Parts: sequence; C-alpha cells; structure tokens
Amino acid sequence: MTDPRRTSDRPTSACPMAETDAPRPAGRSRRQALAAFAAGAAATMLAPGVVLITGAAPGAARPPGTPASPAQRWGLLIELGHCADGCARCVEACQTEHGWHAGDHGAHDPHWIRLVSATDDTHGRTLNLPLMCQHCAAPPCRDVCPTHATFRRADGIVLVDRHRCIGCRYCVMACPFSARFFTPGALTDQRPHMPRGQGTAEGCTLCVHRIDQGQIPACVEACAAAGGGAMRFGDLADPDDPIRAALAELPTARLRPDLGLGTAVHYGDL
Amino acid sequence: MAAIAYDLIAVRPGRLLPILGVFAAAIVAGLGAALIMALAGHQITGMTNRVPWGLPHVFAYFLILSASGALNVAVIASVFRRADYKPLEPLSALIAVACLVGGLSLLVLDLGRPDRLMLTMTSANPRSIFAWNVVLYTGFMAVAVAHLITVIDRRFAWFGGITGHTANIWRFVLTTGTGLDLGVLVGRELIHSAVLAPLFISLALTYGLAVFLLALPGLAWLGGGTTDRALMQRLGRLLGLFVAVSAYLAVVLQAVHLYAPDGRDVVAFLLVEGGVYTALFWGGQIGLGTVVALVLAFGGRPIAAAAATVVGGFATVYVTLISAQVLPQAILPGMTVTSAFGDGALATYQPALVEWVFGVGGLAIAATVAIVACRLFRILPKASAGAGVRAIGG
Amino acid sequence: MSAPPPIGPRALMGRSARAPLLAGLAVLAVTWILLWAGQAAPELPDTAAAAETGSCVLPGPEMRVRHMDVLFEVRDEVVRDGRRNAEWALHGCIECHAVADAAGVPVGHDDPRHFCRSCHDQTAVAADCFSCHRATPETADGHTVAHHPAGRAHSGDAL
Repeated sequence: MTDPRRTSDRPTSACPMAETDAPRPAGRSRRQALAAFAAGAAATMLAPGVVLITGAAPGAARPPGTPASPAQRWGLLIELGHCADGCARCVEACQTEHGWHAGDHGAHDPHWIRLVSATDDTHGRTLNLPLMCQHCAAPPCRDVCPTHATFRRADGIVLVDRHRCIGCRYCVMACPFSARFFTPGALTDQRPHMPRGQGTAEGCTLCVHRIDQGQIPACVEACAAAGGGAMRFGDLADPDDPIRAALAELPTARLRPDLGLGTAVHYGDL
Repeated sequence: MAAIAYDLIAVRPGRLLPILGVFAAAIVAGLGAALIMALAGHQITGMTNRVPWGLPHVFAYFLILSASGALNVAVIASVFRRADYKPLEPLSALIAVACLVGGLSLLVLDLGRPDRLMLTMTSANPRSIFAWNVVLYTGFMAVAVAHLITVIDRRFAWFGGITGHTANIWRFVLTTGTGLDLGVLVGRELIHSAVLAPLFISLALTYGLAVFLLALPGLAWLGGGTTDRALMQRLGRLLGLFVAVSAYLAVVLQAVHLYAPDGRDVVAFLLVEGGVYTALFWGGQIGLGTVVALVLAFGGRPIAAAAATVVGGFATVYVTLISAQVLPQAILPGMTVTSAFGDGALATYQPALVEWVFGVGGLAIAATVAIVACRLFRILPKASAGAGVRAIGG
Repeated sequence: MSAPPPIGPRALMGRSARAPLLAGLAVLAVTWILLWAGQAAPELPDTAAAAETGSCVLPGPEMRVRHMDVLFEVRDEVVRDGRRNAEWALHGCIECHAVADAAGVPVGHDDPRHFCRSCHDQTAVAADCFSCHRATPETADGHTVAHHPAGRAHSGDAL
C-alpha cells in the first residue's frame, strides 16, 4: 500500500518520527496490525471486567488510507447511576487529551464535556450528567454552517473542519445542547493531534484521532480507569458490539428525543 | 410629464464637510475596534459561548432590515406607478444600498476568520440560510444599483420595470432569509418560529421607511434644500401602518408560547422578569417604537415618528436577538439543571465598548456612503439638493 | 454652472466626481508599479539540515515545489474522509524540522527562525497553518516550556 504521492523510495522506517509519536498504526500490513491488536487484547483480557465495562475496543486501527465507513456509527452509553458525585475524571481527561481548559475566561471558555447537575422537578432526584456533543444524525450545526466546515463524517462523528470555518458562530447559536464553542483568542500550546485556533468553532470530537487508531475516547478510558464504569463506547451499527447488548438490556434515553436529531449518546437511568 | 431634474447635493459651509468629518472619525474608530477584536479575539467582547451574537449583530440586523425596507419609496414609485414619488426613487435605492453596505461590513468584520469569506461562495452549504444570505445580500445590492442607474440615466429607463420588480421581490426573499436565520433555531425557544419571517418583513418595511424619513430631511438640511410637507405626511401615515402591523406580528410570535407551561416562562421573562430586556421591551419596543410612533405618525409628525421608530427598532432587535440567547436552553425539560457552563441559568450579556464603537462605525459607514454618493452622483431631486426652489413632487 | 445633460455619464456624475476617481486610480496604479518593479524571483535559503539529509517524505527540492499541493489534498482526506496519513501528518513534519534556539528550546512560529518561516518569509507567502496547528514538538510532559512557563495550555491574551 505505497502512497502514490511518494516518489522517493526511502522506507518510512527511516523517518525519525516513528519512534517518538503516540501510538500509531503498527505498520503497513494488516498482519502486523492484527498481531498488535491480538497482543493488546490478550493483555486486556488479563484485567477481569475491564473488557465488559469499557466495551471492546473498536477493533484494529483502520488501515492508513482507508476512509471512515458509513457501516459504522460510533456512540456512547453513559449509565448515570454509576456517575459518582464529585467525580470529574471524564472532564479532566478530555482537557488533557485535547489541550483545553475552563476557568480562565468565564463564559468564553470551552466546555467540550461538562457535568450537568440535573434535579427532577417532581420527585427531586438529582443526577450528574456528562454532557458533550451528541453527534446527531441530523445535526442542526451542520445544517446552518455556511461553508460545510461543520460536517458529519461517514461513521457518524460530527466534526469541525477548521480549514473552512469562518467563525460566524451560527453553529454555536444552533446547537440545542450548547455543545459548540468559539475559541476566545490566540492559542499556542495545542496538542499536536488536536489543532485548535483563534476564530474557529470547536467541540467534542469523540476522540476521533484515537478511534482511528483502534482506541476508545479519553473520557471513557478515564472513567474505566477510575473504576467508575459509567461510560461505554462502541459501534451502534454493529449488532455484535457489546454496547448494543447493553442498550438492549438497560433502560436508556437520549436528550431531547422530541427533536428527532438521532443523537448517538445514550443515557441510562435518565 | 417633464423630466425630473436631479442634482448633486450642495456643499453648504459648516454643514456637509464637518458632518462627513464626524462620520469619517466614527468609521476609523469602528475599523480600529474591528482590528482590536480580530487581534485579541472575541474574549474582549461580551459575546460568549452563551451569547455568541451580540451588539454588532443587533446593529447589523437593524441595518439590513432597513436596507430592505428603504426601497419602499422606489417600489411605490416604480412598481405601484405613483408619479408623485418618482423624484425620490433614486434616493430610496441609494439608502437601501448604503444601509446594506453598513450592515454587511459589521457582519463580515465580526467573523472569527473574515479572510475566509470567499468560502461562503466557493464552498457554500445550500441548507444554510447564512450562506444563502451572502448571495441574497450581494445580489440585492447589485439589483438596487441597477435600478438606480435605470432611474437617473434615461438611456436605461426601459430597464426600470424589470429592475424595480426584481428588487421588490428580491427584498422579500432576502428579508425572509434574514428572519428564518433565527427562526429555524430549534434550541432558541423565544424565536423558533415561522412567524419570524413575516415579522422581519414587517420590521424591514417599518425601519426602512423610518430611516428614509430621517435621511431625506437630513440630506435636505445638509444641502440647504427643502422637503415636500404633504409627501412627508403621507409617508408618515404609511409608517404608522407598518408600525401597527409589526406590533401585531410581534404579539402573535409570543402568543403561541402562552399555551405551554415552558413557553409561559419564556413570555414571563420577556414581559416581567427579564430585567433590562423587559425594560427595553416595554420602553423601547412597545412604548417608543409602537405607541409613541403611532401617535406621532398619525398626528402629523412624520420625522419625530421616524426617530421614535428607529430608537424603538434598535430596542426591538436587541430584545429579540439577545434575550433569545440569554434564556437557558431546554436540554432536560422537566428538570432543573446547573453546571459550570451556566446551563439552566440566565446568561449575562454585557456589551463591551469595542462592540459599541464597532456598531456605531457601521452606522457611520451607511451614512457616509449615502452622503458621498449624493455628492458624486445626481441622486437628489433639485429642491432637496439645495440648488433650486421647486418643491419635491411637483 | 450650465445645466447637466439629461443622459450619459455626465448626467450620472458631476465634474466633481472625476477628479477623485482619477486620483484614486492613479494612487492604485503607482502602488501596484512600486510593489512589482524590480522584483526578481527570490533565492530560497538553505533550509535546516534535517531537510537535506534525505529522510524527509520527499526530496528537498521536490518538497519545496509540491508540499502545499499535497497538504491541501491530504488535509481534506484526513479530516473529512478519515483517511489517516502517517507520512504527511503535520506534527510529524514539525518534530523533524524543529529549530532550537540557544537554550535548546524549539522556536515557535512567531520566531523568524521557525523552519517554515525560513522560506515563507522570503517568498511572502502567508501560511496560517499555525494559527491552529502546533508549531513546535511537544515535550515529554506535553508542553513546550518556552511558551508557557506555567506549563498549561491556554488562550493567549494578546494585546
């Protein structure tokens, strides 16, 4: 699978970046990728319960050069009953992973994921609800974006193409969940895998860079690592994915189902 | 009918140049404010992730609505063939273009990445009304300029019917787009309504005529000319009619909310509990912009009525746009929510000084375009240009 | 002044319009000429050693000619289609082509020694990649000391 644009015959293994980078697709051949996954899966199996809680990793990293597939629909299941009071691991993990933080600029700050404390008006029960972009099937943000900067990738993840964003904030106006944010000023200390810049819109990416490498979102991983087990990630379109089994068993609901947006985040015990 | 004589606006000492100087200073200040916002980012403004569209958008919406409505007199003259309004036809088209230039300047310079504006045309999303508006606004300017040319250059007069009808239909489409810009937002309960389209059309007719009724005597004064009192009275009564229709549609917009408990909270905020927004609603939109304007319009005081309409109009646009964002979104209906982001609570919007300077700069751009065009092109009928004594409309 | 003709350009514009318009055109013409007069094709400077050692994705001269075309294609494929491309990931280029200052800290895009600026300043071609993309390699703890001594990423308070 040689990149046709490469006219030089130097092997990529000579490229110094291969050693220093964060986990990357293990190699060009499927065999290598599968072997790496098998090793990883074996190690994972040794930690009892982790596979059940986090859901299986979405399989091998997608081979380089292959596009996202419409046969997949990534989604989350968040069991609010397991969401501990005072725990904010998902929020912190997202901040570390993507290089944003809240607390400096008040309402100018981004909140890619935030904890909403919800108290029922009739019976007074209180929940902690992690709220992020719902990755709708019919996203209002995509419909109002004048330049196609906000788009829905084939596998269901709603993203901002910052190369095209003109910073009009129409998506910030349009999102019914207030899950879109406008970068307040110039940024310099971005994470290398998460470019963010002044004058563009941003929001939860469902850790698309991790998903493409066969990993799970940072928030889900942090929740599992903390022993919370409230968050699961998986392929909603795959009938064999554990998240589907969990959705069939547990009572779940989605936010604002009346709007018919086809959101991908399912909340249990809502 | 004898050909109408148009002239350049006369340069009266102590009038035209000092006024232009003030407007030029306001434009420079406004551009400076835009530059500051571009360099430092929107964090220095009051526009936040809770209230992403603020005072610049209020000014811009007002100017764009006025642009659409300023064509009223030209439409009356050409589409409705009222010969007594013909002398004012080019001025009407000019005011429309000038307001649109001002409004667009504000919208474009407020973007986070205005250098990428071309993408709205090369990579346009056909579902986005914002993208449609870019085409509609620029196209409207082109059609209005074309109509202007057909009126003041007799070689192109035969075109006038086409451009007049096109401009008239175009402005209704444009204003529908401007209204639906806001009306399609499912998460903004105060304004999520189809009524926003006819409401904005009515507001456009109202504010456009009001701006015209201020611009005409203003230009006449600058040039040392006069205006036709009878004509102004007739336009004043027309303004009164538009003000009444606008008030009716504004009531209809909120009336539907009264039939759902969540909606009643929204109306209660607007009418009673909204603090500054309630004050602006009752004092600006209803008081000055409707009641006072109606009394003055039908009481034979067209210029005062226009002034009241304009001030009330700003308040209306401010209340409509800002309170729609200040109200919390219903993410979990039936639950009381709180969060670090302020979900469930009213947002606060405090316009920063840069936003005021920027917005006023946009008004100054509109005024300057109009005045300079009157100096470069023969747009004003002779009496209001100050060069003759014949009353307009005679 | 005599009555203006009823039709034609003189009907549209007064004499007073011609002078400013002609003056404006003259200013534009002079500016244009001054900008372009005597402009020879620029000599691109020698780039950082890493680019010439032959371990880059393309040979140096070819990279200079084609890098933006390839990047424009790759960015749409990666971002919109999800076709990951390990070779052309921008942060990979940054890690290899980092230029360090005297203290050994990689310089950012605001510094004229930054690798991309060594050519782009010369050719006066604006590259606003680094308004969003990180311009320096990330250190082991995730941040570059040079920019933020506190070690946290935050939006700059420019001005």
